[in-house]
Amino acid sequence: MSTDPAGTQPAQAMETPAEEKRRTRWGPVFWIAVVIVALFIIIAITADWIAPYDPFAQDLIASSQGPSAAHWLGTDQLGRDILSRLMVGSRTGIIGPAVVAICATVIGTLLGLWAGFSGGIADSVTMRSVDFAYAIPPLLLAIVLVGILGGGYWLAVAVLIVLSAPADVRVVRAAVLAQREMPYIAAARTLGLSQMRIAFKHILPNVAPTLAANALLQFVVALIALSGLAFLGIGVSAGTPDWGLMIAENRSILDLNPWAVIGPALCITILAVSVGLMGDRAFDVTTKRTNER
Amino acid sequence: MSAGPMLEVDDLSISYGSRLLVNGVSFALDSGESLALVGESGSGKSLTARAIADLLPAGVSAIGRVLIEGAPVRRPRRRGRDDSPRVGLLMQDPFTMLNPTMTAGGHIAETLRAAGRPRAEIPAEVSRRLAEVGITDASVARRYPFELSGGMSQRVALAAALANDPALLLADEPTTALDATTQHEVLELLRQVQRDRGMGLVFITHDLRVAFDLCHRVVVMYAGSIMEEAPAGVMRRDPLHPYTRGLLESIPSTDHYQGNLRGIPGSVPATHTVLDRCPFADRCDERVDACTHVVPPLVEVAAHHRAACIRIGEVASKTTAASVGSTRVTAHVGDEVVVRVRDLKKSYRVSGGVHPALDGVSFDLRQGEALGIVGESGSGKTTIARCLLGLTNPTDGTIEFADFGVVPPRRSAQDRRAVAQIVQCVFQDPYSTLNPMHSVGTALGEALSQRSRPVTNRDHEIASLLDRVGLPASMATRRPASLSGGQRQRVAIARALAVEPRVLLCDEPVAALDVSVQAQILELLREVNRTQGTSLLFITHDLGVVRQITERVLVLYRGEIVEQGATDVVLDAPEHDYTQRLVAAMPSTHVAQEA
Amino acid sequence: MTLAAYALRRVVAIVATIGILSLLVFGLLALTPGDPATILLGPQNATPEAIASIRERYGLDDPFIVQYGNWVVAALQGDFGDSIRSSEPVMSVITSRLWTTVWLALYAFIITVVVAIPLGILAAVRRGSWIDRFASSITLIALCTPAFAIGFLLIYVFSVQLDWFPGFGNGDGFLDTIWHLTLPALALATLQIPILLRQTRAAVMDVVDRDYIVFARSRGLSSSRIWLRYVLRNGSLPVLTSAGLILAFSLAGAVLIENVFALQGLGSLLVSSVGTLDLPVVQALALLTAILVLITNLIIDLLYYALDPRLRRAGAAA
Repeated sequence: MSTDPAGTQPAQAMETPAEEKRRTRWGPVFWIAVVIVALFIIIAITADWIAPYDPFAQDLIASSQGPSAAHWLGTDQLGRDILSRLMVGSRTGIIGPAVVAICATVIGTLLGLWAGFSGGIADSVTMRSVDFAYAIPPLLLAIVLVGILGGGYWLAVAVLIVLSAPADVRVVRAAVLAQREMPYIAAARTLGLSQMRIAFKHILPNVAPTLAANALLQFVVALIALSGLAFLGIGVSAGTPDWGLMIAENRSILDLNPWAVIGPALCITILAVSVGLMGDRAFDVTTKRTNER
Repeated sequence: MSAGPMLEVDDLSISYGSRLLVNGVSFALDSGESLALVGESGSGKSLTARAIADLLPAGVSAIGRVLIEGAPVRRPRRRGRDDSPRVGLLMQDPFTMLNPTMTAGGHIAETLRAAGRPRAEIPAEVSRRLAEVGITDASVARRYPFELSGGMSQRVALAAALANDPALLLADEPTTALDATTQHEVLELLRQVQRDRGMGLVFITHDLRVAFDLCHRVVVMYAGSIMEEAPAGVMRRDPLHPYTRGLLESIPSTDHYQGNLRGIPGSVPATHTVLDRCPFADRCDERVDACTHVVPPLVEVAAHHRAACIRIGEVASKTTAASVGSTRVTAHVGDEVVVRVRDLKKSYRVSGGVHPALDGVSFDLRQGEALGIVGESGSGKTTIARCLLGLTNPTDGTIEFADFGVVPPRRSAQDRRAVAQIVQCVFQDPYSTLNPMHSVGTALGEALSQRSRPVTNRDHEIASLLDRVGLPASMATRRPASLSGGQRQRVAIARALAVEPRVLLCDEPVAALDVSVQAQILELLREVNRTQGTSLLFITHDLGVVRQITERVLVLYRGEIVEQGATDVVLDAPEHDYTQRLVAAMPSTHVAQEA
Repeated sequence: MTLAAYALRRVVAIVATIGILSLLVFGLLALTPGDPATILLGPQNATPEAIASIRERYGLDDPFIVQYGNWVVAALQGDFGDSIRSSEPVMSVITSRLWTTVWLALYAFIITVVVAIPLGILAAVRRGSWIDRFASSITLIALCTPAFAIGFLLIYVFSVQLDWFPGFGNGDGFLDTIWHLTLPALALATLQIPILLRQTRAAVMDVVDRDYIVFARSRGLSSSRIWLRYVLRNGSLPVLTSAGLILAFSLAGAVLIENVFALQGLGSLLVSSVGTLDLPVVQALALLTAILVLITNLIIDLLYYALDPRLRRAGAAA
């Protein structure tokens, strides 16, 4: 031990070395989830080339059949290959939710920063609106709005963005209010730094990890919501290879080819759980890390 | 009742998982005796107390023996078991110690019920217990903790802790979170209660002065081991262990000016990293080669006096420089007034009216001067700082800076940038004074970019700033999370100095640091004042710090200046009633006192 | 501020909110593409005479505010007009399907509370143990699994394969209904349990570490006293707020589950009404749902206010 004044702070005392390891490392579960998600993304990009059949091609002779050598997961009522439809369906399963997560986060962050810094009336109005949006179950509103306005995938995405952003607004605004009292923000103001600079270079970096983890969880919620809407016949147009829609379309042949329903259900579940695990783990690691003294 | 000591701690070791936190501690206590466990952060003193009370946190385990009245300590598992707890515990923060959803009287009543008192007696008993701790107002019992002041809550907590008449009271820094005057009262109360009940008292603190004042015997701990144990008077006159001496020297004296604030270089190591040696060896002046290879045993060096140092006999008992005063050295104070405050007022709106935090404060600060503002919580001292820095707008009055003029009540961005060249601040909490996401270099670089004098070589300037505050240049790439409290505060000072301000405003900059580190930072600030001629506006509640750093002082009470003048004059001969109380409340370092 | 004063303030706020919501809900009619009269009639009945009579009956030529006013007045008396599809009064359509949804929600809620709270407390108290880690992983997976996937899984396992429970329909009579509602209730509970479990665990964990627990134990208070008066009393506050979240979550989940299990409840009514553009029904359901959510939040806020003395004495000098 040298006399280097950089002596370690005495242990935070309330954590075993084993717990600390588990907390700060990402863990094997996280990486498995990352691999799974990466796989889905690759499939979504390359679906057109690697799918064994055209997902729209009908073959009424081979309809409602179970798994076979020709069709690994069987066919649906119109003879369309289930596996190919699952692969192409990964597009609507990934793009829509991703757009929701990203847009909601960006919009929510900007609004939250603005509300937190402005204070006063701007803040009150923003927060009343946020509380208002919180009172409404998003899926219900989506059903009503999208259903009445005639459906459509992107309309559903837009509605979900509007309903997911309030959560980010709350998180960012709370972070702004909490950090504004901190000495390092007072020091920044004393140095004469502009509000914009303080917002983006000082406050945001501290809340960014939480936002990123939150975005992943928003992805999951959006995925489930969009699939749910498709399942109810609202959202994607009929015939699109979408996982949620496939479940609804094929429920009548559950006994003939259960894979026509189980396949899409598993795809949704596995993707959702993987991203959820990533988000959950990211949440633990990042929030605890930034709380470290 | 067995003969022998009331409390016996024998070779107590505490670990968290596999990590050792307290390393084989032993001491004893008789009934009616009081013992102080003194140490800085990481010394293991709080955990030792928790082990004695058998209330270790989850995951923490202890081996060794702890006997109270001859029997091992054990938590009563069910109601109606043989003993009510023989140990009472009083903790630091009264607001987190009390149940926020329960009244003050409720805490005492439930303890009485658990001790088996008949229901009918309880209301009268609650009043009696409250009276014992000096609360005679009957309405207090019906109030909730958030409705009481800090001192009041601590008294209530004490009453609750004593409700089942324990033989031993463990008090873990019970006054640290309180004001100086309140501290004094609560300590007096503790002393009296202990005497009246003939109770044993183990008092944990980081403040040696308080330990000497209050307790019969003092045990000094460092990094999980005992360094020295002696009767209070003996240790005060003649500390034998280098650490104890260093600790005493680090305490800024309230009695006289010290020419050199030494502190102890470095910072406290974690217990498990120094198990094979004397824990203090790395920071010790008297260190020889053997000290880093051998664990010094705790041996009796005089009557009732034990120390753990292999060089005890050899090291001459030096007259500590601290006990001898020096003449005050001041910076050259110019005539130019850098900060002029006239009739500053600030009021806050609270439900039920208006609360005046500042009620007409006026003062001048000259170039090179070190001015102190002394006050307790609620005095308005922080409000002055916030007004000067532009973090809040005053309700009335003027603030004028040299080279700028009168500051408008609402500052524009330009105003702020201009004022930034004149006044910078060092804040109290080192753990939140730096942005956790920025490296040291980023923070300093950002501050440099705000300087009016252009930056030519950024890395070079950063390195020289770090050197100025006694840190190596390699620190620029590190993040605050890997730095100790003292190091972080140095970086904060470097950040403040980067723009080359004329005034350094220090708001309790050392209050949150370990004692051995405090003196280092204070000396650094003194040096900045003397060599660079930077004016210091020093806000603190600690009169010892005031004596050492400032040459002129303002005493603030409830938003008004009640007394001002030369530091030595004000502290030696206070005129105002409040100042006198404040001076009387401070535990003194070197006045002789019988054990 | 007393409880009564606080309640009054909140009620006023809620009435205002409902007012705004009702305006929006009513405005749905204007939002719909196409001519309101044709929509209300349904495309097959849209003869010119029918259109004219509808216009007169619903006052479709009156200004928006007047139409809104008429609608509100009628709504306050429970008259939301007639369903386009079935020509029955909207309220009777709703009440006929109300109880299925209510029983489903209640059944699911009981399962949720019975499973989530004890498990949450256990996981918090035995932090880091296998129970805790197990609970955490199950929670996450359940949160991420869509309701209909769970529904179909349950159907496949317990109905198609094991034939223990029926996979669809309402059932007749009390016991038969319970039997029919078991799988749907389980599916709905699977959505709610993770939320409540996490909240309970977090709340208890937070409390168990506090100084006041240590102080209480040092004074010799019994375990049961500490649990009741310290842990649960202080820990229940955050759990209460999550109850509101659960309600919102389960309303959405109920829609999907009723669809999966072919239950004649309000959820499936909403979906079919939206699909056929049966606006009067949609408007009524939307408004009633919003009112339900707001009132639940009000009750939770009032409970919070009653339990936490700090809120009551806001403004008292510290």
